[in-house]
Parts: sequence; C-alpha cells; structure tokens
Amino acid sequence: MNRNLEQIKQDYQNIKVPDTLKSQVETAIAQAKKDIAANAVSEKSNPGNIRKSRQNTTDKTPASIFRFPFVKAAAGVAAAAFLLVILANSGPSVSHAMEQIPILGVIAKIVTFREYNHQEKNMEANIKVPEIEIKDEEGKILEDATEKLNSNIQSYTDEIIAAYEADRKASGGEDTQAVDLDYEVVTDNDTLFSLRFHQTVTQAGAAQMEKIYHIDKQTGKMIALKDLFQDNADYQTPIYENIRQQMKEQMAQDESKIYWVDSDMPESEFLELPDTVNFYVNESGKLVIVFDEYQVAPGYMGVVTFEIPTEIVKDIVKDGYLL
Amino acid sequence: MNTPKVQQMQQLVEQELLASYDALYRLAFTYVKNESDAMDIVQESAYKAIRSAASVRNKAFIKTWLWRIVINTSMEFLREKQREISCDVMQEYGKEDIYLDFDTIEALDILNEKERAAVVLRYFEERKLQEIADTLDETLSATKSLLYRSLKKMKIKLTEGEFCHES
Repeated sequence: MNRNLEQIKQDYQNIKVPDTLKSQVETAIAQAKKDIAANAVSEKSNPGNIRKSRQNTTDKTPASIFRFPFVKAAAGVAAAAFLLVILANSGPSVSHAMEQIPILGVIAKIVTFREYNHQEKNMEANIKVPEIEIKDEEGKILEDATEKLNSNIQSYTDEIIAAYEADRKASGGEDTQAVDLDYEVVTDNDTLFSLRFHQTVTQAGAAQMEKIYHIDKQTGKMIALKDLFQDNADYQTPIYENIRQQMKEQMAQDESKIYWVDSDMPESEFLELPDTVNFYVNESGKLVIVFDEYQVAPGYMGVVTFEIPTEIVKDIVKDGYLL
Repeated sequence: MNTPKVQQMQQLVEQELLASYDALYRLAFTYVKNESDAMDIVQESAYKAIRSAASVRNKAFIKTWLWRIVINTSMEFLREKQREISCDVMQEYGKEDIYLDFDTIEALDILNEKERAAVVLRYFEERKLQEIADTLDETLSATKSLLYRSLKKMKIKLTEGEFCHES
C-alpha cells in the first residue's frame, strides 16, 4: 500500500488558520513584554518563576490569556458572567406589553441591516444589526410588533457596541480586541420565526455567545422558552434532566467531551436550566437548547447544543410548536 | 537586565513569530487536532518565546527554536489533557492499525512526537534537513533515519531521490 504524501500535504495545507490568530499572538507578545518589565522589579525575590509572575501581573484578563481548558477554569467564569449581563438586559421578557390580538400567520422577514464597523490598530468591530418587518397575512405591517422586536434587537446590539466602545476608550485604542456579531434565520416555519445571533469576542481567548429571538407566527409576539409550554408547567426539570443524561452519555462514549456534570468542580456544575437559555426549533420540529461557550462546558467545547426528545415534554408543550 | 542585546533578540523573535504564526499553528494543529487548542498553544508558545528570548544565543536558530517550543507546548498540553481524562477512565492507546485508509493528517497519528514534527517540517513546510535536525536536537543522519522510519510507518514510498534531496 502506497499512501500519497501529496494528498496528506494537501490536507495539511487546508488547515484553516483562524483570522483572529494574529491578534492573539500579538496580545501574547505584548503580555510577555509587560510581564518581563514587571518581573524586572521583583526579579530578586522571585527569580525566573514565569508561571507565578504571569498570574501576578495579568491584572486585566486574569488567567484568560491562555485558555487551556483544563487548568484555566477562571476564564470561563468571566466569560459566562459577561453573557448573563447581556441576557438580563435584552431578554425577551421585557417585551410583555405587546399587543395581545391574535393574528393568523404573520410573516416576518429581514428587510435591511445596518453595520457598525470600526478598526483601529489592534481593535476591530464588525457588528451587523438587522431590521425585521412583521406583517399580517394581508401584507400590512404590524407596527407595534415590528418596533418591539427591532428595539429589542437594537438594545442588545447597542449593549455590545457600548462594551466595545468602553474598552476602546479605557485603553485609548491600545487594547487588542475583535468583536464580531452576525445573524441568521434558524427557523421559519408555520409557528415560529427565529433569528439567531452569533457573537464572538476575541481578546486573549475567543468567547462565543448566542442570542436567539423568536416570533410566534400566530400572534406576532416575541416569545421565550416558557411560552412554548402551558402556563406554570414545570418544563425546566424534564429538560434539565434530559440534558444531564445526554451529557453523561456523550462523555461516556467520547473521552474528548467534557461537560460540567458530576465533575470535581462544584462551582461550575450545571445545576439548572436558566429561564433565559437560548433555544430554537430545528427542521424536524424538535426543541434544541443552545448553551454559550463556557456555560456548561470548558471553552474548548465551544457553543454546545442539545436536541430534546419531544416525548419528555409532550404533556406540557402547547400544540403546534414541537413535533 | 534588559540589555540592548536582549532587546534586539526579543525584537527578532517577535518578527519571526509574526512572520510564521500560521505555520506554527498548523504544526500545533497536527498534534491537538482542533482550532481552539491549537490557538492556545500558539499563544502560549509566543508568550514563552518572548519571555525567554534572552536565552537564544544565535539569531540563526530562532526559527527552529520556535518550532521546538510549539512541539513541546503541544506535548505538554496533550499530557495535561491525558492526565485529566485518565482520572476516571483508563484508556488504551493501540491505534496503530486504524488509519490505514486515510490520506489526511490523521495519517500522522501513527507517528511519535519527533517523527511527526520531522514529517510536517520536511514535507509540508519544506524545511531543510539541517533545520529539522536543529529543531529536534538530532544529528543530520539521525534525522534522515527518523524520516525514513516515519514514512515506513505511514506506509509511504517515495521515488528514489525524493527523500534526501536538499533544497
């Protein structure tokens, strides 16, 4: 048997180098220089102890400059906290004052988008803000619903832009950071229109965050996970139990997978399904729960998703949402 | 302690890092096989390199020295991961026969750390044998036999002259 070295080389050359790598390398270089300078002062008391001095001097992004998944759990905590802030401020729950009149089969679509772009030295932001139009079946724009959704999206994106601007001002533009926000329509079926945002913040490590907005096509209303289920039904427990079970099964089958379930780090254990958790309904009508990077697993696992079998919630789900 | 000579070396290391980070990334990728770990390794390596730039005596060796840091950091990482996982489950590593059909970088899995670096640097990055020998801290002839052994393990036959020709 004669394996073709050319083909292996081809595969090797196809390894895609991430766009953000360069800025990460620059950050590492800058950090090393900073640490050398700081070390020169404490050199005598602490000769040549690189690891220790690193921890002492990386004040700005503690432990996150190198995101080795197994030894640097602290980075995960920081990123997760950032995420929760965004959710709390822009979650669909603020939209309850929306019109209650039922509409049959609204049409939601992205009509345009605005872009926020900025680039300066090692800072870069590319943020796309879509504008949605919601119409009833006769094609008349539902102004309230449309405005509600767009203003929710805007406060979410404004938040991201403001955080970037704040970092830029604080560092005088000398920070190394890239923020990228993109979106896609993940569901557009008879019952739901769902718009999914992907946010990637690259500082030292890269953190990925998701946000999904849903429009109920029957009512034109924005909905959250709880709205898929009957009032006051406990949907969290069965979903939580099912995800835990899936995590354990995956970990047993594949050693490279790690979730924070029954782990030896109680502080990051996956303990409950947050009300604000992201979700969507996939093509086969199944509920899919989406966790951000670091939320339930070490960073190297990235954004993780779990498809929930409909039968475990069949007694409490409202008609028409899930198959 | 930051003498002009040290600073100059630091500068050169930095230049080399910025010139070759993508090759360093690919090399790391052949060890860890995923984007985020490979990125971490390149970053960690860049950090280490700048921190210890003072220890480079001859600027001609910066390139091979960086490769060596990346290889060592990758191995360190894999061992760390291995230790973490083997707390619960002991795994057997007997993969020798699984990859027979693959014409992908998975084919490199059959090689040990030195062999892998030698193959990547020689045939994919097209580096000189002497540079590879420096990277691996081996003699030229030991490097040649290392490469020869690696190709044999991967069941690759090269035509006469392809193996040792010098660029």
